[in-house]
Amino acid sequence: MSGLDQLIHAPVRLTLMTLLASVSEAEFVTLRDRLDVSDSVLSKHLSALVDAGYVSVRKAVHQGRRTTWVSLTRSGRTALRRHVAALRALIDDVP
Amino acid sequence: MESNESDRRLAAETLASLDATRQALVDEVRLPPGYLVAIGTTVAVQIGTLAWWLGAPGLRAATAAGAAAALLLVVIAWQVRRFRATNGLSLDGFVHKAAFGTTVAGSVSYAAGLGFATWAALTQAWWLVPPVAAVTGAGYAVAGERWLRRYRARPADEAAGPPWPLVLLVALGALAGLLLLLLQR
Repeated sequence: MSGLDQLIHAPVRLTLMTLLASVSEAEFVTLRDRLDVSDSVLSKHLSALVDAGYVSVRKAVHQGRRTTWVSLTRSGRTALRRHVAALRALIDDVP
Repeated sequence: MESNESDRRLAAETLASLDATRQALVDEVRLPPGYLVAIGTTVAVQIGTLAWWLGAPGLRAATAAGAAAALLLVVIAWQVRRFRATNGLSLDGFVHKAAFGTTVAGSVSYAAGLGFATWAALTQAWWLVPPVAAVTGAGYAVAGERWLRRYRARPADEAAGPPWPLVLLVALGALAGLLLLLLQR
């Protein structure tokens, strides 16, 4: 499939980016539960997306508990928009 | 050809799955328990005390108005914190549009309520101030709930708040207005 961003084409990453596009920030635990993956799997995907500049991660403390907050960057938002547009174009491309 | 058809089907399934996952998330976003009562009551107290100060200037009224304004800020900050804890996510749209009441319904309700309550105070119709303040507080809180319904329908549009330069401009304008009001007292 052409025009698709291979970095976010994997289902977990694409779903993760889609969830982040609907919020300002999401807690790591919320994303993990939504995606139904383990901490290590989510961490691995997040690292790849952070390296690509698509998401940013910040640490915080809430009621004495360490929390991790994840958000989509501007370039991540653009990449997701392009990827979804490519998927739509694929669907509309009736011969 | 068959490969194209399979790609199309896969793309359609992917988009449908993404829509469903996103909708499941936004459908579960809730206002913190007691939000409507906390915000509605605090806005009502703030409107009432401000109208009192404008209608009958004095140290007690000024202190009450100042304390109520500070209390409103504290309650808003507390509700924003509770929203994040309740939902495990944050929405700039909630902060600006619901908590700070910048939706059309929220700001019109607040401005009309403040204007009416101030008029009542200036014309010595004091009995009118509490019900007007209460109705304004309720309208402000309900406007926040209506924003949440809009967010569930259009999450991508409603999640974000206004641009920060605009927020800064409005905050500076409000501060200048308050200072002007203080200088006239």
